[in-house]
Amino acid sequence: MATADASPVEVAQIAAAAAAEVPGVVGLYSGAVGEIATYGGGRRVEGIRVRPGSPPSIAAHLVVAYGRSLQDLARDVRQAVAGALAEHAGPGYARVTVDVHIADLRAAGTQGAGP
Amino acid sequence: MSDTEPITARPSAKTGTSPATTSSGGGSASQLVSDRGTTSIADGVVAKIASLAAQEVRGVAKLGGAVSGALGSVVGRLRGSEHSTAGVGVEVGERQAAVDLAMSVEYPASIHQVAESVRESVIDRIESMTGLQVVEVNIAVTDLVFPGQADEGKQDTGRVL
Repeated sequence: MATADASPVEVAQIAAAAAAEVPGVVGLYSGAVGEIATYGGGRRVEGIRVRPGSPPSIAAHLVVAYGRSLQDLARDVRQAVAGALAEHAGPGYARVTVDVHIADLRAAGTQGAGP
Repeated sequence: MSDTEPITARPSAKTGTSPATTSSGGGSASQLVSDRGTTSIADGVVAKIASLAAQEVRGVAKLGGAVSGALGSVVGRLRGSEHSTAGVGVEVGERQAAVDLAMSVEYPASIHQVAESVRESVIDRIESMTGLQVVEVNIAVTDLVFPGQADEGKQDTGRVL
């Protein structure tokens, strides 16, 4: 278990990877000109903003697929991101607020898949 | 343009704090992982849901078309709306949404029936996907499309024979 907190860009990478795994998430949304991102160490993580603090907060901007309840999806993203950060980002991220922004939507065929 | 809410930080919260989500089904008591945070849905997403919901209805030829005929389709292409929010306008509040929709209908479908089905489909999809209550769906039928008439929308031309 890490004793020191991860840097914001590392936190963003963990959060982005966790969010992208959630069913219904097509990808991360980086804004009209790519302005929504976290920078650090020469890296850029799209779609995530990190606000360190106590408690820290994460904003996840997402592109989602048509069909699934967005409230359910947001809840799943929140749990996945908070869980991944609690496990990998250090003690300061044991409890983290995750704000989910559903920014764009793609048609996954018009059948409307999803529970 | 998304409707963001202030982040609510509750440092002394134990498990069981209700999350501050917009228009959610209330605070759930048992959460294994810290579940705090807000959810915002961009207006364009609501518009796309309405657009896709309308296009699921049989009898809808295509959306948009404030100007009828060939001129309308040229205007549609120039506008470059590649994902069919053309013909759809939405007003989104905290808990409610209103939808304006312009569409053309396939002949000889009953325009009234198609409009009612579109209304039902739009309300159902937006409410189930976003949790917003749809208070109003205004539909304008801007054109009638005849079988065999070339249009860039659906393939189903409703051929009689």
